[in-house]
Amino acid sequence: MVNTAIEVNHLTKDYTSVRALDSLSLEVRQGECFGLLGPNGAGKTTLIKIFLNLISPSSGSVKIFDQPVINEKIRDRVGYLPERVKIYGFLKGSEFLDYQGKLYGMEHTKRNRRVEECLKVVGMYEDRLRKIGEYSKGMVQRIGLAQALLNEPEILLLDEPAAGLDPISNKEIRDILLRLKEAGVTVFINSHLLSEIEMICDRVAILHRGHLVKMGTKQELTTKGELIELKVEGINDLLLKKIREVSTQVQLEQNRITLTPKDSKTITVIPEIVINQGGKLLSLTSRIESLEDIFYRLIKEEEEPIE
Amino acid sequence: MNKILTIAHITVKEELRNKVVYILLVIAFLFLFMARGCTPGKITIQQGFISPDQILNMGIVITFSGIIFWGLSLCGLLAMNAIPRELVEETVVLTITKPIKRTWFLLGKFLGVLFIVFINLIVLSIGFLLLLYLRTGVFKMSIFSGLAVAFLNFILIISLIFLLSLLLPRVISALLAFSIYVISLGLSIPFYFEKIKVYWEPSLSTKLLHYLLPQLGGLHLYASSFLSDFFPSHMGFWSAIDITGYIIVIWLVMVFIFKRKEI
Repeated sequence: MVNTAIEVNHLTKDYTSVRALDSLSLEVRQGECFGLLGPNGAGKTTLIKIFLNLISPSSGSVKIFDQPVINEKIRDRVGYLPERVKIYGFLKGSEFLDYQGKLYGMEHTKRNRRVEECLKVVGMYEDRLRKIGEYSKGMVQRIGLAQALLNEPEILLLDEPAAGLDPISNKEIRDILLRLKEAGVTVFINSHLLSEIEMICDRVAILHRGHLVKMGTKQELTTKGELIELKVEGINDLLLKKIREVSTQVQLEQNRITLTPKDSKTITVIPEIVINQGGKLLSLTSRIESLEDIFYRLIKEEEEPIE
Repeated sequence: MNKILTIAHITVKEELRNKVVYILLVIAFLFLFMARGCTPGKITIQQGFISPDQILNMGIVITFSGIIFWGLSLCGLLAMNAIPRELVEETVVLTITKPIKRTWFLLGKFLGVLFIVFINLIVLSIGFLLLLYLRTGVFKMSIFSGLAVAFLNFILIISLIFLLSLLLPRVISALLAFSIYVISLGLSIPFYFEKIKVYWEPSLSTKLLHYLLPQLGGLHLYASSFLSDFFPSHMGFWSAIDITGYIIVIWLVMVFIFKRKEI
């Protein structure tokens, strides 16, 4: 039986003029890597803040390891990396981690050991004696990740972990997360970097305007399977109409048409349709639906429901 | 308790970087030095009702009040920033997302501010005692008893500014708390000095305001009584009880508000 790490039940959060979360229910299993996707304002950060009792829900409940989040002791088992890491600039990197270790109630020897280990893991050991105020944005983010790992958390909550990182740092952090996942740590990631989520996460939830659009593994979310992408010069209404006849869904973006084929014959008839309707086919490719496609499709469906 | 002290330690480190604290301390020492320990110096007034001993006593009490008001300014300066800065700069997030209660965070910030005020008062008082001793040979240790009593007022003022700064802009919080102190002190005078009552019989509204406000003035006068017989020592106990009651109520309200604050 798989144990539940995070359990969200009918969670609603109302701000003065907007409903940030709308009766949201989801479950994160222990040891899995769970990705939360959504456009800006979808309620992703609000959800993580409720996990940490930084804000209170208007209704509904959240439990971490079967404990209500209002119980501060549960945070002994949680590591958190905020989107914007804000740290006292007058402290040195190692001093800040030592301070964080004390807040976890770690005794001196263990604290020293963990501070050193975490600094090494995030590649900040050499810079540990520099003041945080002198750090670059990426270095602050790494120190932020180090403090999130300090207590050897069972759940790691990451809010846009790649924010402000260069591609190399990004890959390094991804590798760290993969190692943690292998070690059995439950990882919960909020991110808009879909490729990152796709590489790391076992399951994904898509949030839009505070409610859950879809949740599952990538395979579960993919209903389309194959996608055909064509670049066409001279797109006109008739051409689009003909293409729609052989597709279940069509997306148009400038001169690029992405479609979900109705059947296996679709790909063979498309060149003929384009030429017959006066268009010029520049390229035609077939591929499997990526997480980005799924995300884009589901959000579009939410915004413009298909009749 | 260790976690509270950890937060207090960081608060002290943070506040000690505030240059205004040192500027205030230097100004306070300059005033002390210029007042030459507030001793009579070469003043030789022997006529009228004021003897040199009385002048010396007055000087000591005025300096004591100066130290108190300097301490209040420091309280205002430190307390008004302690919590709002954490909230505005969002440094509070990585503290309260650790296994600590929000009350511990408030207590840590409070103890940090109180510690700096305490140390500064001690430094200033020692400076005053030394100057006084060098000028007159008098060593007025009772200043520490007076400060110990007045410290309850500092605790209330810092708590009040903490609470107000959760609801109001920080400068207004400090000014409001400072105003309450001054008004309370002013309103206390006719209630403690019988001779003044002859000229100023408090009206009903004055009485009402006096009893509604915390007895900061009463405790201030009681603290001064450790340094001079001129000040009344009666009612000191009740003022202390009143102030303690206010501190408890302020903390209960503050904890209630801060626990519900969305960060």
